[in-house]
Parts: sequence; structure tokens; C-alpha cells
Amino acid sequence: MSNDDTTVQWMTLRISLPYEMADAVTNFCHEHGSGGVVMDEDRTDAATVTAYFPIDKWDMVYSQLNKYLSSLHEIFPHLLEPVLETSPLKKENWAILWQDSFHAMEIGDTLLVAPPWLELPHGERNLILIEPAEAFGTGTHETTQGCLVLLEQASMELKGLQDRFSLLDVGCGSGILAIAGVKLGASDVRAVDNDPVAVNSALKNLVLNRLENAVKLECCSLRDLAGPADVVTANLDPLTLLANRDKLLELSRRYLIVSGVPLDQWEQVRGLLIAGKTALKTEIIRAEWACGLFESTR
Amino acid sequence: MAKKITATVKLQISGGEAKPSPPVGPALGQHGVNIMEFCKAFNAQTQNQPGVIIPVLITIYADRSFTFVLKTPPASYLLKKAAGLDKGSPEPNRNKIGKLTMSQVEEIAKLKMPDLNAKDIEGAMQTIMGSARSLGIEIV
Repeated sequence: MSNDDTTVQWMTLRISLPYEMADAVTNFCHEHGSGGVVMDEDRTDAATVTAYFPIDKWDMVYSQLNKYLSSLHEIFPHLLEPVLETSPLKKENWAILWQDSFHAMEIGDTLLVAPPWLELPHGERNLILIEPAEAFGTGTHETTQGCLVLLEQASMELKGLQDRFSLLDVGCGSGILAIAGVKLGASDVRAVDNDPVAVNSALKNLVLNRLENAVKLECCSLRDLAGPADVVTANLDPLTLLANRDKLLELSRRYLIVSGVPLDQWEQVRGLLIAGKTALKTEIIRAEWACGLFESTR
Repeated sequence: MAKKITATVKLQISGGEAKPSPPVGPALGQHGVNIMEFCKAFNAQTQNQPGVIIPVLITIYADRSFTFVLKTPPASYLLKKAAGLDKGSPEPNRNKIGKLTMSQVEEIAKLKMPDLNAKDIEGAMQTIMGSARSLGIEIV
């Protein structure tokens, strides 16, 4: 197959085949310069292998592949023959192309969340830089955004009541809420996660925001936490929230912000938190997610 | 943090050699995943396995953050290594290029068992023997 378009650098080969042949065909791709393969084995009896070959080698690879598949057919005559699809792939700068899906986001009345590569004009909003990576909390999800809005509200109210306030972010992920806490005026901020990968991501984001000395970052489980904070943020999941309700209530001196709750489980979570001597101040429903700001009534 | 999975992507890449070009770029780029971060993390975890084909399962969440887990090398890689081969046979129905014993097959089957669609070790061994035949390796 020849291709005169010089922007085409790769040929995409997509093979649908019986599961029993998948290992052999991926091996063929590795041995013929694909540089890796994509596997799709959702079904137990079939798989799809996608591989990309440099366009200048494609004719040779295609010829050898057909010869190899004929050979496999003789070994496994009872199996269905693989189905091949090919399509040219143009040269792209994949290292940065994915960045197009991230934009600066104004959240609440005062926050601006943005990835670090964007050049933003100096504005009045509190800028939070987040590198989208291995930890949840890029700022694009409803659960994170709801938490940020409620944290902003809690911070405003606390600033009217006392000189200083503390924040504890449980399950900190990327560290976005802890960073927001500092920007919103919290003087004592702790961020914890039981996943070391998340803690490492949070540290990178703290450094990115020059806040590595402003947040105490720890890798530990929720049950090992001690010492209350004026505000506790818990963007977790319903099971973890409910299993740790008493601990979260014990840790939150005044406000508890919970998020990560699907709408169909919100009534249960909200009811159990209110039963634990809190009052719901604000709730936010976005898409299929709910989050709430609860104030202690103890 | 609350996590909602939007996609899983399974790749096979050589240890320490993930880069933004295909297959990593197109496979992850379509989901808006930070490709350089994935490459750096994968290469850091596999830097001691250069040349080893490593399956990696990447889970992508609703906010385009991701996690990944490494799996055992493919059966074909383990079979070639056990048989001392660099490559499989281009015509495995005609040209047999290596031999392995049944106990070697069993050893590989045990190693691969967690990643195979096999109900028991016998089923896993059948799968491994199929891979061996596809490479031109005879079981003696």
C-alpha cells in the first residue's frame, strides 16, 4: 500500500481475532517494529489488537503479517479468521495534543483553576495550578468543583467569625482542595491521602503553587488521623464516608464538607450526617453528584 | 477523592521505553490523559526491565486523572525467553525453531494464570501451548 501524503507517518492496524491468537499476533507486532500494542479483551472469546507501524515499513509488514496469519490458520483451522482493518495516521504532537482538553476554570466567586502550561493574564481570582496526572482532582469534575464552592463559602464565614482557621483535607488526591484552602485564607492546612501516588502528586502541585511549606502533607489512613480542624473536606465515596462518619464528625470542629456522593445515595449520606449532630447549611447538586456543607451543632 | 472510571486502556510496551508516539499517544490522547506523566511514571517503574514487554492496564477517571498497574509479561515473551529465542517463527506451521518441556509450560502457565481467561491450571497450560505453537516452539 502506498501513500503519497507526507503528513502520514503511521499505518494503524486493527485486528479482531479469537482470544487464542491474540498473544501470537501481539508478538508479531512487537517483533515488526510497532513499538507496542493496544489490547482490547473485553470479551472472553475475542480480542482486538491495535498496532501502529511506520509508514515506510508498512508494505513489508503487511506482506509478512498475511503470511503469518495463513500459517496460524493452518495451526488453528477451527478458529475464526482474523479481520484486519487499516487506516493511515497523520503525524501529531501527542506529547501536547491532550492538553487541548484542559482549560482555565472559574469556580465559585474567587477561584481560578488552571493547568500550568496556560499563560493567564494577572487577574483578581485566586489561581490554583494543577498538573493533570495520577491523582484525582484536576478540577474538571463536579465533585471537586462542588467542594471548592463550599470551601469558599465556609472560609468566608469563618473569616467573619475568627482570626484564623484550620483546614484538614481527607483524601487529598491532587491537593487541589488544600491549595484552595491556603488561597482562601486558612492558616493551618493539612492534606492526607492513604495512596502514596496521590501524596506524590499533591506534593508536585504544592510546589507548582509554591505552597510546599504552607501545607502539611501526610500519607496515612483516615482512622489514624488525630486533631480537629475548623473545616474538614472529604471528597471520598459513600462507603468510605459512611464507614468513617463518626471519625469525620470528630475531626471537624465547625464545618464538614462532603462530596463524591452519587445523587441516588445522597439522601442516606445526608441523613446520617445530620443524625450525627450536624446541620446542612448548603448542598450542591451537579450532574449526578451531590455535595454538602454541614455545620456542627454539638 | 471520589473516582468515577470513564475508560480502561490496556497497552503492551517495552520496559522503560514508553514515549508519546504510537501506541501510547493515540491510545491515551483520545481520553485527554497527560501522556508525558504516564510515560515518566511507567518508565520509572520499569527502568530495570529494558526490552521486557510489559502489559499495563491504565484506568482513566472522569476528571482525566489516571492510575495504572503493571501485569506479567505476555506468554510469547516468556516462551521465547525460556526457549532462548529472539524471535518467533515466521511460518510456525512449517518451521519449528525451538523446544520446551511440559514442566516449563506449566511454570509459565502458573506465572500467567492471574492474567489469563483460564478456569484452572490445565486451561492456562492449553493457552500457553497454543502460544508456543504460534511461535514455532514444540512441546516435548
